Amino acid sequence: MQGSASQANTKRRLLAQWMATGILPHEPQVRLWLRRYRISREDADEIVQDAYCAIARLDSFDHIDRPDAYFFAIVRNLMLRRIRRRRVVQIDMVAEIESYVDDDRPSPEREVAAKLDWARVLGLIADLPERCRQAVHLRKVEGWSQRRIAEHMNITEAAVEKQIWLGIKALRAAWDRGPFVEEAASDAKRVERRS
Amino acid sequence: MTGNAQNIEDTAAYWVARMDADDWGAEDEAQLQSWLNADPRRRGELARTQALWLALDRPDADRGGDREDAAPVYRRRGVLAILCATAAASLAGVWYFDSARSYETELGEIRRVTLSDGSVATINTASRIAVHVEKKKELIRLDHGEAWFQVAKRPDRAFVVETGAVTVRASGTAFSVRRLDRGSEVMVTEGSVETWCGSTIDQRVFLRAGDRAFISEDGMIRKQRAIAASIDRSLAWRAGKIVLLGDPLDYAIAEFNRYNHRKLVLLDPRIGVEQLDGVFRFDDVEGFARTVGQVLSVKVDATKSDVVRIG
Repeated sequence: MQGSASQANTKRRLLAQWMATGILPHEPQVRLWLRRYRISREDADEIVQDAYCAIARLDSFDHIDRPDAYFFAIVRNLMLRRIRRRRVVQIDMVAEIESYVDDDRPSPEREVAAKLDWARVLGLIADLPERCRQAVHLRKVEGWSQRRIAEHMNITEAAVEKQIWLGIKALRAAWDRGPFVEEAASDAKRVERRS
Repeated sequence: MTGNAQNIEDTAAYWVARMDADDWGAEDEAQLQSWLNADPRRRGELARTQALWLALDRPDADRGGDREDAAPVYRRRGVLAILCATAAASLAGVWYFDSARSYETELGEIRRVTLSDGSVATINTASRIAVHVEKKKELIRLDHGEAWFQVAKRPDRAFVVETGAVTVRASGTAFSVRRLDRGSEVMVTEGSVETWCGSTIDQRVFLRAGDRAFISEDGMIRKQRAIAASIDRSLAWRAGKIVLLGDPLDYAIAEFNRYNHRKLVLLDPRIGVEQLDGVFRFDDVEGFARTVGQVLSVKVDATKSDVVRIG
């Protein structure tokens, strides 16, 4: 039983790790794209959530060569479904989205999006309340285990876990406030101007 | 945001923190499963939160120090190591031979791939390259077709393209190689390259930005100092375009036919020498044919799906 629990945990972690590198960094681009179609913030939240649900149900992901293109494809379908359900359908909008073919080739925007800006991540961590900041910093930047952090900070492992929880909530909220989306928007402008 | 959604987010964050600790057990797993099964949205929320948490890890591969977490983490790193094998090997300077990793494009397809040394290969229609990463060089074999290489500036590594008997060697430059029937054409857009045929490396020819050369399989090298604009034009395919500037219709038709299943056929060979100007999308066969029809006042028959007849 213990073995199968850790197996399940590992499997979940592998998927999350794949999403961390292949899916999540493209979320700002996806949101920017939804915004271009004048999808409201609330609707965009739900579409993105539904997309993550679909991805979380994947049994395997080795066959997906381009996670970013896969992510865009799922979001596009969810968006179409949502628009069609509306009572008043803007025909030209549906046609435009339907004819949208995700350009599979890496673009400057995509390459920028492929990685989270580490300096910005450090900034977010630095903004956390002190104890929480210390625990998250040791865990993420130094790569220490929660157990070692507990010894170092001279608190219980449960207390470290609590600080990590607070940290995750705060960082998540920061991510959702969308500074990365604004950055993606300004990157996109820069790219457009250059070309 | 509703209270319920906030609650899901907070609980997802709690589970991610719990999984991040060192003592995940059967009881945790059972509780998590029952939480997940109660609402389909929860699985997505958990995955997203966990992905975000893992995305915040320091980006460098080897963190040293205290990474002796539980076994699952090691396994995770093992898989990651495989995923990033190419990049890691070249970073660490480890000898790594990726036996013929090849990239192939279909008719009309253009593909950009980033190679392990950071160089970028843009592969034109109906082409195939095979990439070997060797100790001190990237060895690219162009089996057929054409590719444009933007070579990363790496003084310690050479970048070599072989096509038939022709070899091109570069470092930190950009150039294209196209394999033709009896030889290969090399165009340099940035920096310089050396090229030779067979084992005659002592007779190699230097090409600088703006040069183009045709190297025949029997060792003849025809070098041309081309103007940059003509090279840009020859490489317009990188943007999905065919650019004509006083080029004969024969040439234009051959170019379109490189990219499309629907072939252009010239019924009246006498008009093949007519010169044309224009910028076309390379998949717009019919649009090009109609333009030619208007400009040269000839008939265009586009009723068949596999062929467009001109003349």
